[in-house]
Order: sequence, then structure tokens, then C-alpha cells
Amino acid sequence: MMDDQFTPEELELIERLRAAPRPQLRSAVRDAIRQQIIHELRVPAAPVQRPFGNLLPLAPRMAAALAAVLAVGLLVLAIIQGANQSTATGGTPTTLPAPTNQVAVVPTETPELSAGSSTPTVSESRWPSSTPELASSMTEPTQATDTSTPPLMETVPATAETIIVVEGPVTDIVNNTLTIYGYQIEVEPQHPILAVIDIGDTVRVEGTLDSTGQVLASVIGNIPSTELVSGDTEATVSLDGPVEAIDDNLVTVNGIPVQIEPDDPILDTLEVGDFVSLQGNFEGTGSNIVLVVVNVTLVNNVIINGEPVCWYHVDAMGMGHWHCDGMGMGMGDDSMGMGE
Amino acid sequence: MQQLPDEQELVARARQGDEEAVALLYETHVDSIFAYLLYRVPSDSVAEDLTSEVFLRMVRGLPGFQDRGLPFRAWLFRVAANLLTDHYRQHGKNPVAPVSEEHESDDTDPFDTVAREDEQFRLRLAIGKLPQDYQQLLLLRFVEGLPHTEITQIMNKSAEALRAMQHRALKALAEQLESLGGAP
Repeated sequence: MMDDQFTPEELELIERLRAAPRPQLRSAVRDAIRQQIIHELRVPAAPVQRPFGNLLPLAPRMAAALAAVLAVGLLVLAIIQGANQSTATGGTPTTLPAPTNQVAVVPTETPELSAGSSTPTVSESRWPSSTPELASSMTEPTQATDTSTPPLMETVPATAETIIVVEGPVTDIVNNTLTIYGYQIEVEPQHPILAVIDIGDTVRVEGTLDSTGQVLASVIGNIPSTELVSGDTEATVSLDGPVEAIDDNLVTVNGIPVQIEPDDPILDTLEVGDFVSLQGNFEGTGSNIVLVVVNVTLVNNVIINGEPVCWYHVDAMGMGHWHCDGMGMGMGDDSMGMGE
Repeated sequence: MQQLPDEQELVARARQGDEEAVALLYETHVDSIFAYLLYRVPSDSVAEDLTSEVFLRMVRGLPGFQDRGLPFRAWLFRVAANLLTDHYRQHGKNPVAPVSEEHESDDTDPFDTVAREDEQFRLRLAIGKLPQDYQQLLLLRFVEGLPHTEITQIMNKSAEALRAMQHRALKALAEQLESLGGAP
């Protein structure tokens, strides 16, 4: 270890650091964490009954054992973006803009993602979950139309459940349960949007994902149309998030299966834990849907002053998203490939 | 820091879901990770929470983990470092003002225990006032005893940069300790 030249004063300080008392976890905490990780090992990703395959591993965690670990609170604010367009125009659902399957997971602040992309359509995040946090909520003016659904602002109590935002075409409506991208979304039975929404409408839903994989909507509103995530690509989906698993060129990002071109050089260095920003399109493969990547960028290794600078942040609208300083300024490479 | 002679095999077993291997990896590295985190956050409870999250992510990340010849701990420290970054982003990079809490210790002499806790408190306080990269380097290099080859991967810096930085970090630490009173 001592392959460096140190002054006597430095050596004295180094020795002091080496001899520093070594704290140890309390036995109870140590045991609780051990039980927690074993439980996590035994109960991996939740059963999948939706087209995202292994989306959102929701293994119940032993929150009671470590109550302070994973409390996540996110109060969600909705803006009803105008009325149901079909109602507004007197048309039928078939006159609406064709659903684009546009999905954006964890919108970022990168110009290429925000430009021309006013309505990213699916957001979800399992990160961060280590700290309790309540996001403030505020309302913003909605786009007024003659049949606007009254703007709603509802909140979700802080829970350890996954917060999810889905925007996309409604493919099924059964009573007060909508289906979007295979997600079963339960809406309050008295919610006014149920009176105006039709299959084919594009809606935005914010809520929590329970352990059965059903979204319990806290905020819902219809949006008039969707646009491509990135104007100069054919991507309809934007996804920013951590790589959770890699199987050849099939990568799981934020719980969503992502297919990268097998010869994409990023696969040489990509590792679990890396933070990536990608754009692509959902494509069906058998019973699952995979996000086929058009463009992928490794962003988690941006280093400024020795620290990666991606972080999750809840903005004034109560919407969480990842932000990375230095995005687009040259991404570092992770020679260790270990991400995280 | 002790490294298991058969760590590669252990990691391979853990990747297959072997509970014993996962538990052994946890037991091997938990104290180092906890100590590393404890020096960088103000309270034991936060360090415990982050330690828990590190190992949960270990379990989730094991299936995709690729052994590239580096000790497994390098990956864990990288996970911990990223978690800290996330923590700082949410709670601000306030200097660590450690809250003295109960620790388990093998010390039986109460005076010795007090002296050791005082030393730890002073070091935590001083280290917590340093820039983040100084903290990380000092803890990994001198407290955990990691070689430059591993730290370069954890911190994404060259060995030359680390060697230069460590002198500045030690100097800054000495100044902080001196400002706390007593010998640096």
C-alpha cells in the first residue's frame, strides 16, 4: 500500500486514520439487513401479468425490520391537460390521433429529450427509495377546452410503493379500471374522467403500483396528443434510469426490458448499476413488450469534482425525474463496468 | 481488509442465488461498507439505512454482475458511493456533524472506550468537513486500505490524480483536525 512518498507528518496522520476505531453495525441491525437481503433473494421480481415482462420487481421488503430504510413519499400533482379531445371535437375515439405507444420513463432535463416532447408518456421510478421525502404540490393552469374535465389535484400518501406515471392510449375500460400498455389502472369509481374517456384516448395517470402490479391512480387526465420523444429519431420512448440486469443485449432499465443492438459498443462497458439515457420504441416480442433502443447513452459516470452528478429530484409540480449535470458534455466511461 | 481467497467462486455462487454465499459476502463486507458510510453521513441511522440499501442492490445486481478481475468490494464501494451521491442530492452536502450514538465495541475498559469514541468522533467531524472526493479517497485509501488500482475504478480517476490528491486531502484533514483543537 505504501507505494507513495509521504512526509513524516502525513505518515503520522495516515497511521491515525488506520488506527481509527472501526464502528460496527449493531447486532440487531446487522441481523435485520441479513434477513432483508435473504428475503430479497428468495422473493425476486414480482409475478408479471403485464406486457412489460419483468417490469418492476416489487418484492415486498422487510420494511418493518428497517422502517427507516425505504420510506418513499411522493405527493403527486396532476394537471388535466385539456378535455377529452374526442368529446371536445364531437368526434369519436377513432378520430383521435393514433396512439403512439409513446412512453417516457423518468423524464430528464436533457434538451434532446425535452425538445419536441411535451408529453412523455410513461414514467416510473423505483429510485430513489432510501429516504423519506414528501414532494410539494402545486397547480398550474390547465389548457382550457370547452369540455375540460375539472382539474384535479390529488395526493398519494407517502408509501414505500413504486410511484408510476403512465401516459398512453387506453386499450380497455372495464368499470373503473383502465388498461394502458397492459397496466391495469384503477381509478376512483366517481372520478369524472370516467364519464368522458374512451378507448383510444391518450391519458396520463399518476399513482402507486401495488404489490399485485395494479396502478392505483391518484391523478388522471387526458392529453390531446403525443409527439415523438426525439424529433430527429423515430423514437417514441424516452427512458432514463439505472441498469438493473444485463443478459447479452437485453438490458433491464428501471424495470423495463430494453433491447440494444448486439453490436452496440456500449454493451462492452455497460454494467448493472450504470445510469443510462435511451430512446427507442416498444415492440412486442411474444407475450412481452421490449423497448427496442434507437439511441442509448451512458450517463452515470459523469464525474464532476469526483462525484457522479445524476440525482433524482422532485420539481415544484411534484413530478420526480432524474437530472444529470453534464449530460451531453461528454460521458465518462466506466472501465470497471460496475456502475452503481 | 480481508479478502476471501475464493471470492470469485463465492460471487459465482451468489449469482446463482446461493443464500449462504450471499450471506457470506454480506458478512465479509458489511463492516467496511458501514464504516465507509458512517464517516460520510451525520448519523448512524442514515449509515445503517444506506448500508442496507447497498446490500439490497448487491442482491439485485448480482445476476448481471460481471467479474472483471477486481475485488468484489470495489463494486460494493462503488454502489455505496453512488448511494451517497444520491443521498447528498436529496439532503444537501452538509458537512457531517456526527451524532454520537451507541456502537458495539469489544472494549471492556470504559476509559478506553470513551477515548476511542472521542477519536472516532473527531475524525468523523474533520473528515466530514472535507470535499467529497477527499473524504472518499482518505477513507478508501487509508481507513479501508484499498490500493490505488481499486480506488481508480471506484472514483473514476487515474492513479496519478489520486496520488496527487491524497497529499492535498491529508493536508486538508490535518488542518481540520487542528481547527478542532488538540494535535492534528
